[in-house]
Amino acid sequence: MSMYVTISPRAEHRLLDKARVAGLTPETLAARILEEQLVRPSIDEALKPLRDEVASSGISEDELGDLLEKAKHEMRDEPPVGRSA
Amino acid sequence: MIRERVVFDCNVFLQALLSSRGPAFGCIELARAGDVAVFVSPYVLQELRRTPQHPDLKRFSRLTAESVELFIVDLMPKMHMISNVPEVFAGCRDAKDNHYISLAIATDSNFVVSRDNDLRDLMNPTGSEAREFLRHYPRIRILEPGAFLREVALSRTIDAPTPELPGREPDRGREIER
Repeated sequence: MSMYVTISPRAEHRLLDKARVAGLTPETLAARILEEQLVRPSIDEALKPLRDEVASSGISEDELGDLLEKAKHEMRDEPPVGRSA
Repeated sequence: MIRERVVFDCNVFLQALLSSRGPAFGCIELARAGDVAVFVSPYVLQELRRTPQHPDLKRFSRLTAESVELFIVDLMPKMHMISNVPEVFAGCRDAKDNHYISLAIATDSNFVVSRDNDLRDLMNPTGSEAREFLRHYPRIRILEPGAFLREVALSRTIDAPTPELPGREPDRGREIER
């Protein structure tokens, strides 16, 4: 799909600058930025499986809050190590 | 325009990461929309990364270091990072909460939002530490996420333009005090 869009002089300046640094044409960079914004899932979409898992566990918001407070305090007492979550 | 300056407990972030159903998520939505100014520090982010490592949270198999990072990276452009926070406050029952108050002091914040009883008890004047806190820092309020949302909603209501009535001067609005 090809289209014609108008951008502000400030955005044009930044686009030209970034394209030059990246070694791309402004058209290629603009297409990449647009593609990334439209195709990349939003943070809420990305976190939906996790939030669904939490919701389906049946835990209430208050219970979740209490669980997190307990976890925070107990983890503060743990020596720092390079564990992954 | 009033724009609250606020420090969130790491668990406000973490609860919003885990659930979009509660007031913690509402707090983060305010931050995302730029409706409140949120201040964070490396210490807050460290707690945000560390707390999910607790064994009790392993029950949520999709809570991974990657999901936490994704959340942080998405939010950071909306946060104000304060790298060097003078640790001027030492009155919390749990010394590891002191940083949140020091961060609020350093950033001239009006609110600390937390469910942590060690922090919230600073608002209860029956304790001597709390009385000292309230005396020295009367402009800092420590609220639960739900109470903070109500506070913001109330301030927006107060600030909403009032319909002009005949013979009445229009409201001039009020500036944030800090």
